[in-house]
Amino acid sequence: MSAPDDMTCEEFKEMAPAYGLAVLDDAERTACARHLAGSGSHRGCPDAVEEARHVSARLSAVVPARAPSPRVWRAIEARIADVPIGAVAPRPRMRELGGWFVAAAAIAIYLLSAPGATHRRAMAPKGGPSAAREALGLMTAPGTRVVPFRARKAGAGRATLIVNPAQHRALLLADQMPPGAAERLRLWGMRGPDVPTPIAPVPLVASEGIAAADLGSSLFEPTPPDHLVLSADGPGATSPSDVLLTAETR
Amino acid sequence: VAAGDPAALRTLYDDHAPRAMAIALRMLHNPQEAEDVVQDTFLEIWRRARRFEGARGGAAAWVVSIARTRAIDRLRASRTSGVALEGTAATEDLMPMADPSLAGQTQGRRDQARVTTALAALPAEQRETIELAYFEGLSEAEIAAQTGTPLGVVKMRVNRAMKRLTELV
Repeated sequence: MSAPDDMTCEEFKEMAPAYGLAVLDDAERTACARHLAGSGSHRGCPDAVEEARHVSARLSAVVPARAPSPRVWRAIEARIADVPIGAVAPRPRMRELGGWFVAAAAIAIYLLSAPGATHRRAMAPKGGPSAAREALGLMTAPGTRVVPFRARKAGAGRATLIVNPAQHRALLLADQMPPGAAERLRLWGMRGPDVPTPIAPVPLVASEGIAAADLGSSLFEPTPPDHLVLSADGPGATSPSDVLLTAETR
Repeated sequence: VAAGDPAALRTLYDDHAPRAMAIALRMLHNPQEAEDVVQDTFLEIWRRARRFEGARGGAAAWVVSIARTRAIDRLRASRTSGVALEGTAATEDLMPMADPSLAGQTQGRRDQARVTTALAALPAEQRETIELAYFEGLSEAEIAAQTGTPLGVVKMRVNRAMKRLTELV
């Protein structure tokens, strides 16, 4: 099911200037990203991309620099600081988020406050309170939407993706996950009918059947997937087979 | 920044936000949208700083790359939705170039002169292709459609122009 990397290094290097300039179409960009991420030895591929990106960055010098207004830094500072929840972004979509807002907040707070399990801190790289605020901030940010997963087998549990495409942020929350899946949960991004890309391991709090993962921008790289698959295939899998839940993302 | 130090992010912002703002404004023609891109760019840097590996061009290349990508996202989203971004900012044409010998003393002005000169050295059709790609955010296929040029020719022009610019900048 996994799409092979059938691009040679010579072919890649031929496309590298356009890849670095970000002018390829989605299929070409995905093919290049797959080749670059491939485990085989490369013959100058990363250097070719870096060179193109360097040139691309240098081209920006042709436009005179222009300082943003002070409000931009204030907005950034407010978003990264340890500020009270809701102080940065408005909350226009509480109804849209519905029950998942409450559930997600409860899960996030539980994951970040319960002592002991280090894998519960998948959402808390910078500490519990900040991560909780970050999670809740995402839920209330402009443009955030909820993508529900559909169960593909009985007892598969339930999951939802809270995603903000403009900010390239995504949070996966799941509960009622089946016993025994603790060490095997994988999230896959599917681009087209047969191009699975592992996105992230999903840490699971096994005793409560709760899973959560802050996907950051990984969901959007190299391009947003057409749909997501949550499977119980383990870390060595190259494609999803024991599929629990799926979601359409477009 | 990778250590989660807001002061470090502020330093990075002071050094590179004007460049991100310039390219976003040039692409979007809208100051509000451009400032949103700058905000998104530095929030993404804050979240992804641990992945930065000091690529060639350093932080400046990274910032510009993210800003361009976010601006392209907005351009393509507006094209898809059919809602054009409202241009409210005066934008300068890439060409004709200013006389590089009169460029100022700052590094920024020297860079501007060097890149402007490099672009001027390209054949006109290659320069137009790079301008459409870089500043208008068009893909090769979109450039081909807009200019009535075969896609293969557009790809060839992008490749040749980038190789030439690699030598010049």
